[in-house]
Amino acid sequence: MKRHVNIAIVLVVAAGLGWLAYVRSGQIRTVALVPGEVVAGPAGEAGWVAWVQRSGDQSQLMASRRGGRCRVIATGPFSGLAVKGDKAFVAQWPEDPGLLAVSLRDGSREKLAPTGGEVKQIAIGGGTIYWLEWRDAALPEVPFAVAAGPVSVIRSMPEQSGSVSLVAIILPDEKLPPPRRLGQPAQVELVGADKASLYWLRQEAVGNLRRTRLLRSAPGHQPETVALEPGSRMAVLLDDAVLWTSVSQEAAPQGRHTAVKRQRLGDTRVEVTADWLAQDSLLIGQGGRAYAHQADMLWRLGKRRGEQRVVYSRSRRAAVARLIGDQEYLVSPEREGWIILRRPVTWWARARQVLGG
Amino acid sequence: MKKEVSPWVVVVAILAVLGIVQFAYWRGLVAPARRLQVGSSARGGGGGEQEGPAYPGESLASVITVAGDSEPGHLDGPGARARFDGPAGIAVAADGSIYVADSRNHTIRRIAPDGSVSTVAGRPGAGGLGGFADGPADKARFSAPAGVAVAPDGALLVADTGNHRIRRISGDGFVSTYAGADTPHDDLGRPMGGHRDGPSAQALFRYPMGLVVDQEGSVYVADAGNHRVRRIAPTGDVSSLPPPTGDEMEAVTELALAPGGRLWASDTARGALWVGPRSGPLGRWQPAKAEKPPRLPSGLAAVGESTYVLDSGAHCLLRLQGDRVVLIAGQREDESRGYADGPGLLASFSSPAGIAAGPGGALYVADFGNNAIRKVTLETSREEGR
Repeated sequence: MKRHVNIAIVLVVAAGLGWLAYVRSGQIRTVALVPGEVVAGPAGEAGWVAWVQRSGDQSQLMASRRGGRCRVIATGPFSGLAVKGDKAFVAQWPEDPGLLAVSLRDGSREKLAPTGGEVKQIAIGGGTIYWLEWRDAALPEVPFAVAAGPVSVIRSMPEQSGSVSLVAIILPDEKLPPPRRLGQPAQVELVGADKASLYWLRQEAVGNLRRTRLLRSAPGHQPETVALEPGSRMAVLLDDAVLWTSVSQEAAPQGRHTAVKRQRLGDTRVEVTADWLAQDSLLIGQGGRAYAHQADMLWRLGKRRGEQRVVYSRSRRAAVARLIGDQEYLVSPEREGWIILRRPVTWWARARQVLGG
Repeated sequence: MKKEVSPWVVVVAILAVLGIVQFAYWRGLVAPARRLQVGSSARGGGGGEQEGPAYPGESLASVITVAGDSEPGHLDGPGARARFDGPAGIAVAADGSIYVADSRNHTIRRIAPDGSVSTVAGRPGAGGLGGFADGPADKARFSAPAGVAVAPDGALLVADTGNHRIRRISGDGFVSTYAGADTPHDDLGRPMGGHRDGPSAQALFRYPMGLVVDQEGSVYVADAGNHRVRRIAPTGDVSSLPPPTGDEMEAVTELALAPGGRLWASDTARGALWVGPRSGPLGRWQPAKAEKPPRLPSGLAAVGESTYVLDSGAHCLLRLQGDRVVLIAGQREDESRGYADGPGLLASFSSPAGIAAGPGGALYVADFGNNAIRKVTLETSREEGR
């Protein structure tokens, strides 16, 4: 009898510990409390997570390795961020404008190329660094002065050499409805690059409606339209396919739900890979897989419709999300500044978290 | 003694009153509030006024689309199927042809009197910032041209804004540089422009946008980046009109010549209109105290005693009559951009940029944001046209 009681106690204690471990493994950990605003990132690779935060006139490149202590890597007026290995690529603006490579280990920096305007985004892919610059308008008050208006410029540079190429010059779309203001450049976003080309998004307007064009730029060629979708859309580039959000193919009313379309690289066929996602879902690409994040859910999308699976559903924050390694990083504006959080998304990551990783 | 009224009598009485009101409305004896507002002159702070039309006829303007289907692109063919991308400047030739500076396409387009659209010069689809090349029409290159005018000899003059030059397209389609020299280029390959008076081949401009030609063949250029009006004499000498005394111009974008030799200039950056003798200096036009001036004045056209001005900020067409500002077409509100044909005051535009008067007094508008060419017919012009 006593033996049975002991076994029962052990089982109850083991179950309790297991439950505690499970809860602990899924806990959201605070990576950093930012006393200002996160202006770029987080981005990361090989265990590194980096971001650019700004407080007043100062901006800092911050990094943490494997969930460890956050360190100030470099200080300066930075914008844009991409991470490859233990190297961060940031742009300096407006003083001594240029594209910099900063070592996340020791903070040493190297100027790779001069830039002619504020860099809004940096992307790395296929051995090439791409960046998006904004050039100010010569006549910002004149909406129909195309030649004197602001321009968005995409430039590129091989990682190994210093020759800068012009990928695209994008004239502003004057008539975009608010919040775009007079004299602002076209709304362009870099999606990612493979060995052959860069994928990017451009917001356009027809009448008072918005639409999003997904383009592919190969060196020496005019940009080619991959897809044209109504509304504001997102896209991600995976190892073998490009995915983008679209209006739902099945839901009614369509506007409240989002579908995800997929095109294999080098192919022209487009298929719907997911549907019925919430309208404000974020599309995330990581490790060859696509995920959708919305409020308290993270879905892993399959290659065909109906294959999406819930990865995680216990987040308490609606925030900007990035997947870096096996952690999901959430960046959320708070009352006192910004907060960066992380939570594991794989069983191995959860186990590591229990063991104190 | 109180006599009870039958409910049927009440119903019939109400219907009778409604019928009388409806009849009065049909006959124009009663106007709804909307018609009263739009028929009156556009007044700042005069929202509560319920006065009748200040200038009978302006509410009878009508707007139709001549060419363009709103979708940006480059497509020649029948007007309804043709596509433009940011039409900014417009001119009407004596034969009724309409010429359009199609800025984002870096081309000059023609709308024939039968409504078909063709490309006069420049290469569409070049994307980006266009280019520069003189030569035959199909080999020539422009960079975001914003203005076009017809010279007395029938040639077309183009404000090639991105190349900081004035170009000429002869009757046989050959494109040459009429005025302006090359300037250093920035890291994107864009010429930066400059300011220099002198012989046409050495003169420098900076973002020339609008232009107008007088009977003697002098060309007046709205040199937006230099904040000046320039004059190219028939001999080719380029000079700058003296600046206004005690005031400053900013981005002068469009010009119009009125009878009597008065030159109008719209200053989009300052929200101002300038007027004066062709030889300058121009003085700032002042509206009556109660009138609201255009917010971002752009295209200008002088027809008889009236001057028409587009407001690309409030997306409408206005008429300046004396010191008064009369709304002719569009809604005249900052967020009223849209695309609707119909009666003038129910029609809508999106950043209209260029305007030209055509035969019979009709006005043609380069509707920049809607990628369309619109025609505004005024009641007076209809009568004149009969």
